[in-house]
Amino acid sequence: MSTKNQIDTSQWVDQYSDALFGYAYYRLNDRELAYDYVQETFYSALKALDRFEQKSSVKTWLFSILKRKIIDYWRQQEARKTKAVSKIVSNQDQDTSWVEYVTAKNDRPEVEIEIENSELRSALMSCISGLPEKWKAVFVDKYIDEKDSEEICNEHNITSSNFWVIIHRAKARLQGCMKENWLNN
Amino acid sequence: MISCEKAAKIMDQRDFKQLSFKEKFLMKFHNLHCKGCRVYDKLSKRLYKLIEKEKSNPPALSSSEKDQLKKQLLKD
Repeated sequence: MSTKNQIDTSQWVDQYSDALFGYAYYRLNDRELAYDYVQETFYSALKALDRFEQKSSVKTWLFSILKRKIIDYWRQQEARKTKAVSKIVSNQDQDTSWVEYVTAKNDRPEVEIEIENSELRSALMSCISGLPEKWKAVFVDKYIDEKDSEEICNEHNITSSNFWVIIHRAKARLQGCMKENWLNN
Repeated sequence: MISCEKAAKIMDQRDFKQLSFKEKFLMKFHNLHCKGCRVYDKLSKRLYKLIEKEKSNPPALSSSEKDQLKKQLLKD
């Protein structure tokens, strides 16, 4: 390891792994995969440590590595994507009709509500991961990471009106995707 | 009356900022006369709530996963 970079890598996991993991999780919708990507990000960073010029913070640098890996993954998935979109939605459709849900609505045990919450959660994640690549990137940046609209526009090279069109279309798509699940509440 | 596009934009902006009185009024007045936008309004609020709920409970690595991560990285 070069001496010009005096970066203490021993704290990396404690300092950055949660943030990186959350970032990956919301974009990959898969816990294990997100873990693997965090690990790979650290690996790549350690390997390239000599070339890191400290023009940006370590955190920014790690995120840029992870981001590149995720975009590569999305590209690979592009062909298979359409199938995955409605998987959870249709699964639930088969399991319980919403009429059953509505009639059973009163007096439901805690556990059941918990399950429903986690179903909603995974449906949301699945719907987000089914968005087209660019929409997904913009949407998650804005809604989950609460980035500045201007920053997002610069990063994705879009105008402000483009930005609002993407937000609106992504929302409309998500609403359509979530509709089945919402019938139950 | 404002168009559906304008009403929708106001409802989209609501997710990120406090609306002005004028914006709120224009949007509500439009929605009063527009069923499609009322539906969009309702679903928008639901989606927003769900995302907020999701964010209040962010995914995190367990300490054993972190230890595992550290071990694996040290191997190199």
